[in-house]
Amino acid sequence: MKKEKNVLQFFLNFYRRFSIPWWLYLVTFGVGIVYAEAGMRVSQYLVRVNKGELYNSVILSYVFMMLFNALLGFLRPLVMAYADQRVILRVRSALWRKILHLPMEVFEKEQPSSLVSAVTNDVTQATMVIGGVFSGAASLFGFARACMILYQYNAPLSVYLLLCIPVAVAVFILVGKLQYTIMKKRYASLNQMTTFFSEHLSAGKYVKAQVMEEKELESGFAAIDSRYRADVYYAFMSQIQTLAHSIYSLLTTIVMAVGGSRLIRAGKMEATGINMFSTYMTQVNMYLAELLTVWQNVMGSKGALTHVSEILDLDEEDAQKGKAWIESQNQDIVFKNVNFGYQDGTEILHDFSVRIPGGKMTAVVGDNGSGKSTIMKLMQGFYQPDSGEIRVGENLIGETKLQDVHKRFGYVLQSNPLLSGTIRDNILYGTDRPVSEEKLRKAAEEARVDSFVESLPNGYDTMLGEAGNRLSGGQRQRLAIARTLIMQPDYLILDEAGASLDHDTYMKIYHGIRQKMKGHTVVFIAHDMREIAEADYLIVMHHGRLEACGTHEELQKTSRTYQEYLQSQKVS
Amino acid sequence: MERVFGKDKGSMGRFFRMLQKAGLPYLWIIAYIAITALLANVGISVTEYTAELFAGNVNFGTVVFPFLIFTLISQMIGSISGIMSNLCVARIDRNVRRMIWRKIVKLPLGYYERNTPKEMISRITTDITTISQLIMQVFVAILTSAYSLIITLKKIGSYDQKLMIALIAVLPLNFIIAFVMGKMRFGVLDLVNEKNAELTQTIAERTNNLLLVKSYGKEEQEFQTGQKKMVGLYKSTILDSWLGLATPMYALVGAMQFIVIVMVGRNFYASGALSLAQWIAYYGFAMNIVNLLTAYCGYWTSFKGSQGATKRVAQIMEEIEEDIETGEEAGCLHGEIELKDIDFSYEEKPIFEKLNLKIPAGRVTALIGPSGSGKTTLLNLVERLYPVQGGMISFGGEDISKYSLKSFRNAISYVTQESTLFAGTIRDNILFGVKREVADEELERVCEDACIMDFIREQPEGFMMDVGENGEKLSGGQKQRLAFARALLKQSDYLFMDEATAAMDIRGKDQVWKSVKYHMKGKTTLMVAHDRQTVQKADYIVVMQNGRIVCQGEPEKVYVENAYFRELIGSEGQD
Repeated sequence: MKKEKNVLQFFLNFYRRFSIPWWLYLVTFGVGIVYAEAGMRVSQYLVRVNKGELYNSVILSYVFMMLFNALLGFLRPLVMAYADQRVILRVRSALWRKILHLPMEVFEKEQPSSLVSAVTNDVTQATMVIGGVFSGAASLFGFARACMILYQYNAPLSVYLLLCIPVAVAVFILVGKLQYTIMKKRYASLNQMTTFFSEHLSAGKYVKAQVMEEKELESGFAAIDSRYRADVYYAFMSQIQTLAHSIYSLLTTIVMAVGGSRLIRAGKMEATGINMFSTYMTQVNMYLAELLTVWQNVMGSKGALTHVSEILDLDEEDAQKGKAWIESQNQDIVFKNVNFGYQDGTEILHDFSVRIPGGKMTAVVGDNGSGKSTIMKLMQGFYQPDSGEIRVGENLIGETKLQDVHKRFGYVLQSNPLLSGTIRDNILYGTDRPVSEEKLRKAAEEARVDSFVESLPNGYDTMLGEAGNRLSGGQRQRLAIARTLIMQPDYLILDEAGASLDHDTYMKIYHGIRQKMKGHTVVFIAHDMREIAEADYLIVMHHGRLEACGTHEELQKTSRTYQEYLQSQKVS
Repeated sequence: MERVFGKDKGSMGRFFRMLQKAGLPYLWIIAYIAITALLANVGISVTEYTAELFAGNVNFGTVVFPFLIFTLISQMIGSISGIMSNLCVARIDRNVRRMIWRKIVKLPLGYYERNTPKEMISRITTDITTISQLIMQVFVAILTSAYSLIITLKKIGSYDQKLMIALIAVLPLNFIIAFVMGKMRFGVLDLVNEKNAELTQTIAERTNNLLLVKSYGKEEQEFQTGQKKMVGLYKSTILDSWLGLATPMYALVGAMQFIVIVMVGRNFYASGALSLAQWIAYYGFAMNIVNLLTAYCGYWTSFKGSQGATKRVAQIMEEIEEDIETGEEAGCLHGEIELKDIDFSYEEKPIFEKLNLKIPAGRVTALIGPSGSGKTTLLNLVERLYPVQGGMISFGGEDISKYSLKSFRNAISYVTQESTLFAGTIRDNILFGVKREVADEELERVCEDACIMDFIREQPEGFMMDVGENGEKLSGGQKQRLAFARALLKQSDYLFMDEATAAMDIRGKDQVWKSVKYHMKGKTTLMVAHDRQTVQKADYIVVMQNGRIVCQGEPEKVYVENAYFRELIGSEGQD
């Protein structure tokens, strides 16, 4: 009982979040009642036709009622669709807004694919309960009406038949349970197969270079066969479901045939009574099935809706909240006693303090995993430090409006996603105001991607989807750099931005950036010592701590790691 | 049949040849047809006895009992036929899937590059299911439906010939309405699917790149973009609901047929030529036939809609396979690599024209040049991932095209740019492609040499650590280290590396370099690189630009002659 109450509470809380088009649901209910009544009339005339009462009046009335009933049969789901789809649209919007405003650390705990499926699939379950209540009420009415008509016609046989209904309920529950297991197994096997093929079909070159065709064939067959086994399982289990249904219908058939024929022989029912019973039992069973389906949907939707409401309950960051940005173009970025670890428990930064000078070009060096990328993300407010503070000029990160912070920073990673759309859309992604063609070209030129784009038949209007795979990693990277440069950020962060570019091109871009960003702050991570040596200031990180900082000349004396690096690349 | 395959005459034959190749479960299909035919006969008896009951003939021995028995039998056979049908579908799906996979594995690299993985996945997972649908719901169903139709009409004909003819006369109406509605419904469903796909794509793209959205402060705009797609889906779903109009349309046709059936039937009934039971049976049969045909039309339209998928599957089967077995055994390759007058173009775009290059044996050659100059393509040609379109590649003077692809590729270690890993343990991934027993000590040694052993030791499961799908649990540098360890295990005389250390830090590159020097002593190494740490240690330099070799030779010579190399190495970096 307590559990039931919780379910009710859960759904009430869920629906309180959205405005519900009540009047549409009420219309659905109204149409449902009329539909049920019309159905009774259709049955009534059908019985007469099957009795051989083939008079014009019967035929015309039957035809008319049939058409009217069919019309309602079309209207009922239509109105319902309007109501349901409106609710779904509202839930979708709310979810989408939520996902966009999740803080990165909350976001990273979720699987992106599970968030996506919440918006695309899970929400479609959102109206199961509310729609179910209204359509269920109409079904209940139809069920009661059909039972009543039968009872009035012949009470004893009706009672026998109604006694079979618990069997129907039991069958339904069994079928529902089976359905769940079967579908779960089918989805799982399909998923498994798709995962295998998506991994292996994108690795054609590797397989060929390793000459592993035969092994691939085998493991592919294994994936196919596991799907086949799930299909065979489905073949049997789905028939068990059908069989369970036929047990119930067989039972009612027996009761009706044996009981009915006895009543007729005893003269307690008219000769065509079985016809009458059979016709109305069809109605009883139809409404019973509707009712049970509603019930099943309600129970079934809880899982998906729990997922949806869990997401809606997640913390949100408000990019607009906090103090406004205080202009600080050439000011230092200061880390003071910062400790930080990611959600999975790995400690990254230990009591990390450093002052990154404003208006200069600073390089951060260190081994993989030493925390270089983490400090870049922290200073932009993507994560909050566990302790300590980070300031950009006078702005304390964490108390300053996030959107302001993000807009002051330009951020280029080793590989950067482009969104589908034209090249122009992508370069202009971060700009709010219309940008002149000249400026667009300028940014492309600075990122050394202008001649490539202009060589394309559609130039800046080339759809990336079309050219999708034809863009090389280097071309994509240069587009991403153009996208950042056009924003003219006060602070530019480059996290191994040159790794996928050839040296020559990258050095040209690098020198261009140096020129353009003169007087602005640039912080970059790189593994090329010459690029590093050109920086005004250097920070050496080791295992999440600051090993040394200073100029190239200073570090040559003070930092062991730095000396080793120079040694490796033979830079003196 | 022609309608199914369009105007293309030969495609029908190709389709059946394809089925031949896949192998159909013929016995199962024949058994299914037989049992379905039996079911149709039992169904007729059930309808007749039901009619008797409805008419009030309630003798237990002659009506009620046989009615119950036939109903029971009918349901049992129905279950068996259902299972058989599902099993046929499952077997056909499996056989066709195996056939496609066998084909895809053997297709040359060019095919993989022309088609996105996503396209290929849908061929093998979803597209092929239309073939079993076509066989079971169109080819087989036409036999079973025709049989049911004939025996039912025959039964009606046994009451009176005219009744049968009247029934046949009204059937075309059903076909027309089924086709019209089927087509409309299909169009709208297509629209709904499209809108759904658009929404999923938009949401997935942004959700997967949330950092980008945030770093540009675009949350509000992206909300609007998503919202627009949601409204699009809303509208198309509502449009789909309007197609419920089919219900009253079918009812209208049903009503007209009903009037005809009753008008014809009632005269017989009134004249006493038809008993009440026969009238009810006649009416029941008529409705059965109408339902049968409506269902068949439904299959037909749904199949018409999925025709494209069938065609795409058939197209894959026509692709030319790569033959990896034919040719001489490559055995132990040795000597310098020579490319002579090589022509190669990719999708009409010429990459190499009469390219000539010698790569010295027993040394480490660095292949450098701006991106797009053809370095990776050159490696792919030497690995024979693409066939050359002109000219010849030889190893130690022997034309490599005479070797079987299998033995040739086995004799070379190629570390590709992508450093691919498959879901599974670190151990599985390192040993993938190694065709000999590898002792644990050797495994540890190569990992040491690839600078990844420390990481493996730190893992609680060690070598048994699961790397995740596509190795997603590892960083780019770690993946490259594993790929390098794997290459060392192959112990080939030729090692090709395509930017194989680009994602590693300075120490990692250093260690890999030392290992190359050690393991490849006296053997031939060719590496594409553009970081100076790697390039400056090479014995021999080849500079490429726009598909041409612009300079090659000892580093000292190239340093003097080539500005690109000078720029890359820098003034201090020269040995």
